[in-house]
Amino acid sequence: MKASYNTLSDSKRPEHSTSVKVEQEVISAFIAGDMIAFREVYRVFHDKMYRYCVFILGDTTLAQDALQETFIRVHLHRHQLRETDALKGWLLKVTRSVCLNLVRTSKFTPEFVYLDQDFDQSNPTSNTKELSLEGFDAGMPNQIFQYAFEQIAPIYREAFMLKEIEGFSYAEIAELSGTTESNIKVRINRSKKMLRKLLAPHFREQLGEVTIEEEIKREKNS
Amino acid sequence: MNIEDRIISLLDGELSSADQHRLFADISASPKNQQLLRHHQMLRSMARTSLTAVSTPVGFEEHLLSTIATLPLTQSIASTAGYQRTAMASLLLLIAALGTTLLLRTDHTEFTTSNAFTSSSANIVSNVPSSKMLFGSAASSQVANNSKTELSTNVIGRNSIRAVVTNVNRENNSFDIINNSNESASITPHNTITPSPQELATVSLADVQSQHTDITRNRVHSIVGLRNSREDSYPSFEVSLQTSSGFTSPADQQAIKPFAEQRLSLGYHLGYSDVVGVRVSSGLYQMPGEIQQTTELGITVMQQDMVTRRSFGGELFASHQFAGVLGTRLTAVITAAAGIIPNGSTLALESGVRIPFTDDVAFSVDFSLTRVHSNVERSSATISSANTSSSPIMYVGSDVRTTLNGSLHYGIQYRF
Repeated sequence: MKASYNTLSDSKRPEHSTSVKVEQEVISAFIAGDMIAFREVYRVFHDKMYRYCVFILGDTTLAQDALQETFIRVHLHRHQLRETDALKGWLLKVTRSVCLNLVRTSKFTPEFVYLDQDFDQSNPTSNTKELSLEGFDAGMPNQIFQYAFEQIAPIYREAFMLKEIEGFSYAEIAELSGTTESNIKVRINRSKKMLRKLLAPHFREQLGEVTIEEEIKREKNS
Repeated sequence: MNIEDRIISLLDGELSSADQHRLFADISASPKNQQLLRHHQMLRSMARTSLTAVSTPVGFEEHLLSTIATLPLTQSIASTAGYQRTAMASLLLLIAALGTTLLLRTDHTEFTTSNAFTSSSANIVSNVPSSKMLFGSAASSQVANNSKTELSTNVIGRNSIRAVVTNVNRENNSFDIINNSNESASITPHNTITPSPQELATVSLADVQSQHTDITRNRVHSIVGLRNSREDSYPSFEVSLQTSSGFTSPADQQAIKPFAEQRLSLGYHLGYSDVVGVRVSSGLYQMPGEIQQTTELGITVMQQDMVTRRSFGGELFASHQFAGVLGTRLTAVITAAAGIIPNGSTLALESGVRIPFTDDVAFSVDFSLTRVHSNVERSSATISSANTSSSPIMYVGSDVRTTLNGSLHYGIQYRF
């Protein structure tokens, strides 16, 4: 009994997205309480779920708590997985629920509650300001990106992650978030614009570019 | 769509070929647009690299599996403690709700738990029935260095459990583990793996974390939020048995009213929150009795008293449930129902609350307002059909056929 890793044929999904599928017999064994199957399920999905927790909660310690609680819940309620095909979605739904509950009970920060609602701020893109690169090492782009990612609201982080990194479709994200596809598209679009704006200084530095204002000034002078 | 929207659509592969041509023309004509395109290309690449760089810490799998292996014991302890607290808090909430002001806030009833994963004093490695567990080198070295090591771990929101490791065999890394219920198990590693040289918590979010309150220490949980709601899964059916007491309006009439009612409900969950079902009620129903016809002083007196009879009624109902009201494990319920009773029909609106004892069993309280209509013929019809052609008629009895009843139903509910 081994989990197989199949790339879905959905051409609309990003190329990097190696969506995984666990064999039916593994899922059946998992539901029956087989710990080997549980471990297989864990190994296929834990990184995705952990990433989700980290970037939704914004804290690695909390994310570890959330991941542990998620798998405990998954283990305890495994019999209630009604459709074996829905494992990935179910796992993410449990993860999301745990993260929300953790945030609620922790009284962490009220903004996270917005994940639970059909909430969209008025377009925040225009208010986004470029990130100051002071204190960042340009040789560590991961750190810079993760910092920028933390600056945008969780609803945008969630939509961006699920679409761009995990390869979920708009419909799947909408179902998970309890909102409409068009709303999800708006969120993803806004998240990209905000990130682009936040990271513009880094991009310019990396590409050796100047700002548009400087460019115009240079053209005028020449 | 502005230029940036179109660039995003292009990179997502969602732009039509005609729009692509127009976009390429716009990009080639403007350095600003070219810069936008380059930035979005970099953003995509950077996002994938940065976000996928995060991975679960080394040792997490072993910790999780050992936690789950000890879960039944932990869970039973937690269930008792957690639900006792939940029930107490729920009763307090109910009392407060029935009183004048609801001031009980979960802020006043909190306790602290230590951090789950990071607070464990050591890795516990135990065997799992009918399965093979990999044996982490970190754990094996720990065991090898301690001939008798007391280990403890916490699960989020649950009581800590303790286990003692004994009889360590350093040659094959086997040992026995005994928990606090004197249940023991022999652990023999089937395989040995060396964790990959990953760093614990490779994400550096120090700057971000510094902006937040340090919530990792003395993190508080709501007393009634110990067990999370099960929105991710739900039972198919629920059954409840309730009894009730209530009042009737107009109260000064001999109205048609059901009382001292017991009812058995069977509901089917259409979703997590929506339930439809049927309900059978058994109760003492007041209803117009037989007409006693006498003649006094040349007047025909038709007397129809109210009689109380035990009978049965049936209802169809639809409910919507609101789980986790006030941030607790209480579930609020609103219900609409329609049904039949002997010689009549009912329409009801209810609101109630479910106070959980366990995951499946709850105390249920519902307040219902029921419009009861009796089909018994009215006095005018009774008089007109009376066979008294000559003498005047006097009707003695109630002519009320529609009443409004308020009832408090309480009982036990089981979900399965």
